[in-house]
Amino acid sequence: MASSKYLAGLFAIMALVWVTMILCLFAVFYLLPSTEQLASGGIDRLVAAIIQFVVSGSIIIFWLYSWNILVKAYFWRNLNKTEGKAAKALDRKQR
Amino acid sequence: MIDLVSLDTEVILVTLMASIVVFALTLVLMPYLIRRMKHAGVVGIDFHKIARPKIPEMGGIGIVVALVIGMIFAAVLLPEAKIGILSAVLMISTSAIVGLLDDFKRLGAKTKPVLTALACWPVFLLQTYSPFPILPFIGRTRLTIVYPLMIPLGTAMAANAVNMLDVFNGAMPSTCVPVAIALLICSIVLGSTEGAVLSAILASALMAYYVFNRYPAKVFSGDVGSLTVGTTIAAIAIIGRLEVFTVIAMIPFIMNSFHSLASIGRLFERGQIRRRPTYLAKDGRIAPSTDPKAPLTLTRIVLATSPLREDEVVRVFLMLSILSSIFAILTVFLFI
Repeated sequence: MASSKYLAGLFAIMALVWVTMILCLFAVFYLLPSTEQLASGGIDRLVAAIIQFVVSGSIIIFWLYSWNILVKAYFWRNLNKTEGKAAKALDRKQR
Repeated sequence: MIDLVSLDTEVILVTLMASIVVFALTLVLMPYLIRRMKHAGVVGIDFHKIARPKIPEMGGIGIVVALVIGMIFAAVLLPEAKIGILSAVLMISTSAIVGLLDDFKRLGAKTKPVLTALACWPVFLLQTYSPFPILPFIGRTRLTIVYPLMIPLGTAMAANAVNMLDVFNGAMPSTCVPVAIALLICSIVLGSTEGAVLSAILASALMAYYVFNRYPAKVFSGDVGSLTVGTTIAAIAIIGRLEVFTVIAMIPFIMNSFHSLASIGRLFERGQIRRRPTYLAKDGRIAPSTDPKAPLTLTRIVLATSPLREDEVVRVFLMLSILSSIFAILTVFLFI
């Protein structure tokens, strides 16, 4: 079974994803333009709506990108440790 | 703040009765299906065992039949929720057809998500969606433009995310039951009749199915099973108005799909991947690939510290699913 220390690390990632997801959702939906704003016309309102879409989209992309980097770093760090251990074990056997 | 409304006794009784019917029906249907599939030669190879046994496939048909009968039973007894439940039945049936097509004639990596996205047609036809989702801190919001666009996307994502995690014996039912139970609790707290009925029925069908699919599996669900279960979760989210809670409860599924897709850089089918994310070691344990170009699946992430047996991997999946389901329940109590 995977070590409890390792599972604690995975659980911590999940907790971080949960908290940041809630904050991200709040930010995105708070920024999303309302229907009235889009329907009421006017260049300034339209520009404001486009800016809001771009900003909320950027928040989502930044969040997904950070999540991906975090998981990748976590995976390779642990995999390298495992490979190191396996190499040492093999080395001991051969000696 | 959202007012918390408790469900009335009639709804709770019908939910309980429908769940018992579905549980019993799945238990009865599965052995029959296993015999029929074995006899017809509809079998798949269990790649995570050294002996590579042939296991009957498409056990998901049993789940579909049980879900549809249970939901119709609940709709008859609960007239106020019948339109919502009927939408779910139609969504499930559409998704089951897509799953059957995929099981018989492999659909492409792009065709499958498109077809599963189309499974949401009943919510538009019967107008059973509400573009006012409940969000943390904000409460009920008004998303009349964005929400309808998100329905097909969400349906395809949920269906295919469940399908992508259904790779080990017992993985699909053991990860989806906590999600269904979390959605049931959220429905009870928020007073969503449709959400409570649909999630209780899904949880009971999957609990009965687990008896046959757990390690070592006697049957595989096939795409007909996994796509249908994913679509049912999407139906609960849309019709039961539990969108955000569903997304949170499905974090392990999203993690698996998102990191796999991000590492490959495009939509893919399992058979198309040349670099496998894991391999079966000589001692029967599953080990992660060290190839930097192999897809970063949840299994590979879980296996990074040490190779594990198939049942151990599924146990870790179950723990992750329970944790994300707890987060979904906490979201209702802390942020709504």
